[in-house]
Amino acid sequence: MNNKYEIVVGLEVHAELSTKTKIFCGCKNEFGAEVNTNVCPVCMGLPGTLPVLNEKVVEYGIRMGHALNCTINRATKHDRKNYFYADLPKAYQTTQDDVPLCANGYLDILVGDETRRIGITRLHIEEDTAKLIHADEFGGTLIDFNRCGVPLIEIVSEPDMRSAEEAKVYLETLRTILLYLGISDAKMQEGSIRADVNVSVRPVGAKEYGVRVETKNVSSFSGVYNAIVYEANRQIEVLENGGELFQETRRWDDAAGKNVLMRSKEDAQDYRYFPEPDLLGYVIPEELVEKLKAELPELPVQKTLRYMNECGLSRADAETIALSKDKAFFFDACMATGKCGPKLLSNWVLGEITRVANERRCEISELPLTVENLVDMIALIENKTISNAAAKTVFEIIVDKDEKPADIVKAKGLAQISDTSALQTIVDSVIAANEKAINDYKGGRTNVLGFLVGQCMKQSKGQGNPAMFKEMMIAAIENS
Amino acid sequence: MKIDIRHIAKLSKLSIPEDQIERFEKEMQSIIQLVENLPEIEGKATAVDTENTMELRADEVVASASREDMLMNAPQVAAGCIVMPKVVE
Ligand SMILES: [Zn+2]
Repeated sequence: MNNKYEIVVGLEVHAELSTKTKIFCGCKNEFGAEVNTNVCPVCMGLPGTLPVLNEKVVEYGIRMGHALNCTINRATKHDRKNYFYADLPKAYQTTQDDVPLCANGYLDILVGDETRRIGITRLHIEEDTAKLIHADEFGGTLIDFNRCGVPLIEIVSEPDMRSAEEAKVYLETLRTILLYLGISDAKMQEGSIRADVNVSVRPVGAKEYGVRVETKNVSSFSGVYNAIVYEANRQIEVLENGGELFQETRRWDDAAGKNVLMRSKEDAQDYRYFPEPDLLGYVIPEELVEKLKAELPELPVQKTLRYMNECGLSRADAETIALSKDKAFFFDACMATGKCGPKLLSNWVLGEITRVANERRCEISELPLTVENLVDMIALIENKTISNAAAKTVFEIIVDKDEKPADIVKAKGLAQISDTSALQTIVDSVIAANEKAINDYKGGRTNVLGFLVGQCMKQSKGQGNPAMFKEMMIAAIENS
Repeated sequence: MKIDIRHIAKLSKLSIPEDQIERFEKEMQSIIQLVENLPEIEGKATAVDTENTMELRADEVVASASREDMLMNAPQVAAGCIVMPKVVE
């Protein structure tokens, strides 16, 4: 990237809401149903039908608005955005134009070691379009209306991002918030989140924005990153060669890793917005707005900061836990018992527990493992009753069975031996059996110590205290 | 007011033969004259009318229509879908 230029990025993000039904009719809102089975005269736009707005869509929109620190417009309305394309049977999309549900907010994101505040221009609710399936074997394009009328929120940011990395983090943070709030499946691979990316470049230090180009059809985190880098480089190259940039819309081709011109400014659509005559305005009760605000959970960025500042976790560990609702809820539930410290807990959550959940392709919350048993086991490690090796044996059991770790330790004789005379016997026998290693150690090859301690641990069947073995081994060799 | 028929045709995805352009220009001119006579509306027509509001619907599933019924009027159907001429925007 040419460092004479600064990149300016704004994102328009569409997210499908996970309500039970569509936005204006009672058809099921589900992904992957048999084509054209969740359809009715309303969502297929037949003449004479009337839309009725789903209250959950408004509620979900307000939840997201609160999470993005927006002002909620309690008196709001809908508008028609007119355009002619086969994915829209009414030839207009019912959306919100001049009075969006939420506006003027911000989202703090963590980029590198910095907290960056990204302005949120607006958030509005609207309907999704039908899915076009381009199928040459049928000599045309097939239309599946199941997605038509699925509720969407569109979140428009200010042009506040200054790199592709920031835009990627912003999108990831938005996605995690949607999951935390439980208002969207937020699966990019199923198209439940899609982004349009606005990019311009300007000489470093310039106050005016450059010419803005919109890239559509970006549907993955890496796609957002690559689409921004590609477009910024394209613009810089044009400027460096003395060329002129035009306000235009381009389409991202993820497979090819490049964008192509979709339409120029002269061909820009004129959507002729006007108030939707089939829907009246509505006033959202203040109590509902306040109730939804009070119900807002702690969000991922706040969690990351709390894990770092109050739990002493590393930035990477804190973020990995916070960016997963599943991990974060489990971690918080364990911490709430007050029975174990955060550091060892985070190692287990990110290590063994995540490994098992991945292997079984399930969430941590779906494992039979209980919070109570896990924290009891960690407490046993922390008070040195069991070693890490013995803990693994305990874990293999409690991950599937609700058994008390203390009982397992007793039944299997897993308690760590801290009795010096028992440990000394083992150290002596390892020394006797490894004359060569001992000589190596004395000759200065002190890295054989690890091997010797390992031999001690093996003989003690994992029950010895490795720190004590190490100390006793050094003392024994030096005194021999 | 000058009307650019070629531009409008392009936006509407209509192909209009060259020898028809002049006719459409004339016809649309007269339509515009008609609309120009409408009175100017004062104030913001888009403000929300809070006196006359609508009830929202509970998020409850209502049985969808049958696919067979919904596709009955389609000129061409294949694989459970309406078929239309190939378009890529
Ligand atoms: Zn429907």
